[in-house]
Amino acid sequence: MSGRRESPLMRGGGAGPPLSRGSRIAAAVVVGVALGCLCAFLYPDGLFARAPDSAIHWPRRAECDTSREVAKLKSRLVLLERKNAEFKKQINELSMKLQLAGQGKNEALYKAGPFGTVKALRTNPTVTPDLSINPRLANILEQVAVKKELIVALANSNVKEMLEMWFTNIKRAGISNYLVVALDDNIENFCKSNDVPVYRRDPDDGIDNIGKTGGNHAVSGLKFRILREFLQLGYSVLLSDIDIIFFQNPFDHLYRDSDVESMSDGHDNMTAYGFNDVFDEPSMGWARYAHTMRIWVYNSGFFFIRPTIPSIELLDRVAYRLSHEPKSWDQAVFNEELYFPSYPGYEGLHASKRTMDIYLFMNSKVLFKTVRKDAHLRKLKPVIVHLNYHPDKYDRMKAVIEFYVNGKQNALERFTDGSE
Amino acid sequence: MFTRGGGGETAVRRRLLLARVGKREGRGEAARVVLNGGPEEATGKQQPAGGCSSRGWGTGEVEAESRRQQLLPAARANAFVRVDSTACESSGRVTNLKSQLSSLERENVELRRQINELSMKLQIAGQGKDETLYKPGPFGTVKALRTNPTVTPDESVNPRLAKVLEEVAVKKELIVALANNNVREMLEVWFTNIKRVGIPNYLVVALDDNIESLCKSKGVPVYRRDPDEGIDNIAKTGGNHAVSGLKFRVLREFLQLGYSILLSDIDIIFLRNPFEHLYRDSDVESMSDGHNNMTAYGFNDVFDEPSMGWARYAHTMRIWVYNSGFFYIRPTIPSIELLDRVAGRLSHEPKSWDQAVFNEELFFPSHPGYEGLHASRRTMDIYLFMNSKVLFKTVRKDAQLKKLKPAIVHLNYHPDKLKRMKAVIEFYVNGKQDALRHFPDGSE
Repeated sequence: MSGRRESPLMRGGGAGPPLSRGSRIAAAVVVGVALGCLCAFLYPDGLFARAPDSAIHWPRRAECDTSREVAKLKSRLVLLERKNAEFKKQINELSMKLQLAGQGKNEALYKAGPFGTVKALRTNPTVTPDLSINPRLANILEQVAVKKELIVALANSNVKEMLEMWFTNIKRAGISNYLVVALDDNIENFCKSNDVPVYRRDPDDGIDNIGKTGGNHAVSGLKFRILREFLQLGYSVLLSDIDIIFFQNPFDHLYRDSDVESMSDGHDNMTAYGFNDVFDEPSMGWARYAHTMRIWVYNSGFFFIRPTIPSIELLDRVAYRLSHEPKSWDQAVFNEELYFPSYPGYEGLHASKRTMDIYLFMNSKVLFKTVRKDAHLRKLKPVIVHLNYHPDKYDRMKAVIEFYVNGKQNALERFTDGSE
Repeated sequence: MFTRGGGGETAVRRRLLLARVGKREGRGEAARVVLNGGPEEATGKQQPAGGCSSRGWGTGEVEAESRRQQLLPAARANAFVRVDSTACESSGRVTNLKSQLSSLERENVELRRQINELSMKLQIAGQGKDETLYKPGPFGTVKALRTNPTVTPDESVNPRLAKVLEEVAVKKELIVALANNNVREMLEVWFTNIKRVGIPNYLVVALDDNIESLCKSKGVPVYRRDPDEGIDNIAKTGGNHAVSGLKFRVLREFLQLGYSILLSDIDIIFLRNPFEHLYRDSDVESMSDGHNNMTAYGFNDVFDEPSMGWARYAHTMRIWVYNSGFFYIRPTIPSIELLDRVAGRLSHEPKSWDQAVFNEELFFPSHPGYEGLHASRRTMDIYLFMNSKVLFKTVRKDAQLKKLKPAIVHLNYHPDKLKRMKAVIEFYVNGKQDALRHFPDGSE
């Protein structure tokens, strides 16, 4: 690197014997080459950051295969750019708030009290409402909701008959805060003509395709994407399936102390509320009994969800998994995200949960296998009955109304426990 | 094989909790990063050899460029994008675009990480209020607080213990074991192995004089509680279940002093320093009694009732219990509440088993007449924190799994503990390949 070291050649004249012109030229060339090598070594990609626009100026042959790829890449770039800009805005907002709040500490602000006096936070704080995400929906909810909570159902034309029964009973029970999210025009008009609060989303290809033509499982998965906005607007949602009869106002029976409060698919106290299902492996001898925690799943067709951060994360997680695991069932995914603790490769959700009373929020297995045969339990009036365990829903729904509303004591007799 | 966790908590935490983006360190290998947001998950290397597929969400992969980047600032990239493209582009342009794309994607990931960090802090700051201090972000950017804040230490609770812990603990965490004279032999094996691995932060809570003198004579850190009739009666004469229940009353003070505890039974062999393999992101991080991925980490145990016909299959969530003989508990409010609940129930339900109660309080949601605890939980890797069923039924018979070196082995599933403990040491420490051969899978 002769260029770096100071040599007599670099300094102007005077220091040594005068050189001939030839050697001066040679020296200059050597210096120039050396400098060039130095630059090439230090800046292999060019001294100046090359604007890619410069590529346009290069002489070119027609290589049209790549233009489509370029177009695709460009659109992805634009999308990412937009996302990043959004994120940066969000970060700014959050950091400002954090400064106002005085920097989140890793330590709680107090000491733990004596035995029996310590109680952890279960009822997570609700999010700050953000009306800007959907002003039209915000308007509707403001009119329909009572104390910032309401019943929400999704419906397309496939369930028109049951939908009628659904809202007829809601009206009869005197519940005013309910809303149908119509997935097609038919249902929208039907609701309007029957004076039922209805909401139609802005067109969205992904959702609308499933909404119009999907079977019940596909539509069921939609709710996790749709509900997010409701929560972001600060509303608690009591999500309801269409095959549910309302007898009392459910809002009079909610605890509202957890992120998710849901009805169970269990058929007795053990299965519904959780039990220790002892696993027996005789070959292990002394340690043949292994204890396991087991609980029947929550029914993703009827749950009360509060607008908290864990709840929104739950919806996001479920929606994401449903879209990436084509064979998954929304009820299974919903429950897995709620139940499984963290393990290697997976970070658990950690939302608080409450199981609804199985005799107040009754599934049809409890009704047909147990309640209708028991003299005492028959006298209970449930808050809702969900015909989830049976395929002939409409028939059974009518019978249930005859039994509980019109008092016909033998209305449920002709039905089998199961479906045969 | 498992990646050895790096040195301290920070290194381990970073690697496991945050998707590490390679570019800042100038490393060119493909990094496995979380692209679509959501909780950052441990990389694929942390999966057990059993091949359980990761059920985490939000994974994506970004191919990091291997050559040194001359990154275009975002502004310039903007200008570039708006330039009208001529009909045909050179492939050099494509490469350029791709490199811009990957740098933007990296930025995207980094921004998400920042958002998560900030929102965690805000959640902590907003605790106790009815409303959070901020609005949730768009799809995939919302992450709830799982790692609860620790309590303010209260030294007045037990100044003598506070002093002992200050000397013994490392980074405010340590291994704790309870022992009475019944387990003297096993205790020796226990601390001999801990010393061999080079773990300095451990403590024996001696339940009688005998054990106290044994520990002192062997240079083992020991602590003797002030006399307390209730505890001392059980401690001196109780069988293993009764003594096991004691720990929930004894540990409370440790947590109140602000220390994280790795509670250990005596029938455990330490082969590596467990502190290098903890995530520390939950209130309770515990080893499982499960024997494979499904039973240990939870699965959908479908219940069949043919008479129901169309709806014969009922789905249920099932998971094998956490072993209350080895768990890491952080000094948070939910943790202390857990200890109180378990201690309370054990004293009021005489036939109860502490492991069952411990798990019920951790797992059952609220229901009519019961308010659930709601503590965050993490299940430890069953091949790193190995119970003896996994060892004797599976690992010792499998050529690949045999080569794994676990962090600990817990002889919980077998009654002849001391014998098996010695055999385990022969196998893993002294390399005697047939040391485990003559034992039956179970106890017969």
